[in-house]
Amino acid sequence: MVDVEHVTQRFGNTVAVDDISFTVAEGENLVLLGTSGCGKTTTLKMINKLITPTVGCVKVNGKDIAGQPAIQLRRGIGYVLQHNSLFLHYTVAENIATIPGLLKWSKDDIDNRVTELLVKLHLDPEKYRNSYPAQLSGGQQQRVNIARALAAQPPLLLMDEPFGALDTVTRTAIRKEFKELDEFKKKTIIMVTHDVQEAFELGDRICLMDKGKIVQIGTVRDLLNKPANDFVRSFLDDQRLQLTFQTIKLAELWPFVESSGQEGAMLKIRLEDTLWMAMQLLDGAEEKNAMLALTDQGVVKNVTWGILMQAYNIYKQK
Amino acid sequence: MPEAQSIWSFAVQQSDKLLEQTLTHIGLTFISLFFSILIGLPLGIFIARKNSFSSFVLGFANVLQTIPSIALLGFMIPLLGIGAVPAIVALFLYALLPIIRNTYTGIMEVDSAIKEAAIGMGMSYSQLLFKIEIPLAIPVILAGIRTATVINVGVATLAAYIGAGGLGEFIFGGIALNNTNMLLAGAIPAALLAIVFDFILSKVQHLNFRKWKLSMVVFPAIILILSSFYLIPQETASKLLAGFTPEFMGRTDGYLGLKNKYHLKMRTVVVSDAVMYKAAYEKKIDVISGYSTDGRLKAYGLVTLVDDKGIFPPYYAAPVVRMDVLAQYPELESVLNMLAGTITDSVMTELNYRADYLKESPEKIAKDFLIANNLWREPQTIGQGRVRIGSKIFTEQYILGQMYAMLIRGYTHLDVVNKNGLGGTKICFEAIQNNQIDMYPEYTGTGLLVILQTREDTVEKLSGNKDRVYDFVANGFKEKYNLKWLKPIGFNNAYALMMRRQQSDILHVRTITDLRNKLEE
Repeated sequence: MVDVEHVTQRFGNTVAVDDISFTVAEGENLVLLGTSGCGKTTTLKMINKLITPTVGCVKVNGKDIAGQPAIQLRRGIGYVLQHNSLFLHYTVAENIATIPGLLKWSKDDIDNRVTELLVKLHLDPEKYRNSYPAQLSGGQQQRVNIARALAAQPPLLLMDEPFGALDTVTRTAIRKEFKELDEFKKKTIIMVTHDVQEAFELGDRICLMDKGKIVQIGTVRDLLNKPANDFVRSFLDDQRLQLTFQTIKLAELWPFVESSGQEGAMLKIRLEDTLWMAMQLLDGAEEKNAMLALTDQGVVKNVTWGILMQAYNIYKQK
Repeated sequence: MPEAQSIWSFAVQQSDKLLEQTLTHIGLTFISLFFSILIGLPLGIFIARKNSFSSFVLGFANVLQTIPSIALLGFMIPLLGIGAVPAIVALFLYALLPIIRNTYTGIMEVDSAIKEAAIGMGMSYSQLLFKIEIPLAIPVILAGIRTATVINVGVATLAAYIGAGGLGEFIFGGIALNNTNMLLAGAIPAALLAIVFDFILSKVQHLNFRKWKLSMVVFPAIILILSSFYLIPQETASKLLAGFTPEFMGRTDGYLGLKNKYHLKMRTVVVSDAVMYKAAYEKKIDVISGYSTDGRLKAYGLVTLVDDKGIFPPYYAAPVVRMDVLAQYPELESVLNMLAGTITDSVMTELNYRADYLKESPEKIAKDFLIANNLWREPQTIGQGRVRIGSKIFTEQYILGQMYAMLIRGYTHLDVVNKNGLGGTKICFEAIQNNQIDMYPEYTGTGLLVILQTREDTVEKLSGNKDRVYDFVANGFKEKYNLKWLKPIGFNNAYALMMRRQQSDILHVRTITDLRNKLEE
């Protein structure tokens, strides 16, 4: 869907992006991760021609974008910035209708699309349609912002720190919603973030950048288990344990889990959930003898904290 | 003295004029505002786009703003003459800066994330400008328009100096005539206009975006309607146009007398004394209310019309001095009287001509005159005491002020402070009464009518006799204000109607009655 080929971007004497290449397949979520100034935002902006590369070429749908008119190209790509990029003088509905309006959709089509998106993003259409951004909370604003980018159903979505300006609680909540949304599941998404946690949660693959170069590009597990160098290792060190737990699905532990003979308060969890979620559930439970009920094809295993840890240890050694 | 008139009764009595002046004032303010927006808005947008021009354009507008308003109006006269056009141009220039600056700032301050989102979503540059930047900048732009409006309401009072009308006519007339009611009848409506427009615009500025869409249409329409007010008060035109000072317009020995005694009906504009003569010379106006000793009379080839019905009382000049000062410095009186009888009308005209036209300094003219009359002496050493000499804001008074200063320095040991250019009669007289100055040259006619506010029948009885008027005024000042009139200097600087010599010859107009007859033909 997107091919970035040997792209370099210089601003005067500084090299913001230094000869990078990567490919994003259709339907894939690629996260550009790195500290500020590493070139990740510059890279993103070169995909919708907000910035023209000094050297190299960017292809969208196999076509070099250098030869395409910027305005048409951009109207076909969703673009999400931090929540304060909403048009303050437009209502929620008018904000969402921006690109459909530019594309001259009919009024009915626009109205229907706005309503549909507001419902999907859990904003009551009757209540919020005619509100102005200033009347919304930060989380609501960001929902509108995402709706605005999705409005014209672009197959490709570029997101620049989309949750960056939100507080941690709202951020986690919106991120979860975002992951569940059917609109996103089919889309190709390239997202910029400096938040490792976010990257691991949302990215199919992560492209870790430093000083304008790609340090490593790969799946979450590749980065954790096969770090390319010390930079990657140290970048993840702070949250390594949590990240590891987040990458392990309960299904993978299933063979090593033994059911506890005891009865207790049962908490439901699915096999496709992560070890981290299981630990959070157990840790947060109010009952003293809380247990998880893992079910696979009719077989139920009652799991305690101890059992989980044991299973993890065996899994790690294999 | 006539019973003090209240402001209200003055306003009621002059309601026609008040309405006319107010409408003219509003019209002037908004015509110029309209053009400022027309030019300033695109210019502000342009420099927000092409940033390299911004410092030049803003700097230029800034410089315009720093020019004193009266000077800016003065610059306009040689270029555009007098009347509405130069006043509107000057007001337009004043209103430019706040509008350009706020448009520029408003657009520059639109959040860069919002601009980037708009571009990133595929808006063209013009869509970005019209859909995003301008709407978001509108509260700031409106704040600029609001500032410009208030500035214009204020500066428009000065338009009365160059014949454009407005509430300045009452304000400057009031100052010149020592008529507080007239002054307030101009000043209060002007202040109210400023407050009302400021209030309305602050409401518009804080409308929310939805209502803005409607007001985008309504607001320009309102400005245009208000602009058209200027056209309403136009009177029927006569062949000749008169330019009278605000003071002359309000005096019984001025325009009111011309109307009553001569039944003169002509189109008039109010102009300041400073530009009146030149405007007559440049044929912008035909008849002016000059002073008979003014040097510009000679410089601009004007002739005075004979006052055949004697409505202009004598205006013999003499120094007016505080009694306590004369008692404190007994030597002063004889020194000040040294000028008595030395300056005739033609001498004074000549001296004024040298200042106004040959641009010699009042000091040089004063010194030359004293030397020629064997009155000059080198300054003495300064001892105890000090005399403060005031003068009104015109040439003759500057020269007289200098002469008195030189005489006092030469013949006494007193120190002298010159406080020149104290505006009109009202300001000079207030200053001497409040012990801000010790003396200033005054005219018998002014003392009689403006300061003593003598009743018409009494004035009639004095029947323009120069000695009786002098005695009457001298007594009045002594009793009422404890001020002494010293001996008259000699010349009679009376009001006179003046025309260009050439026009007077062609039309065969020599007297004011001739003028009336010519107008009625």
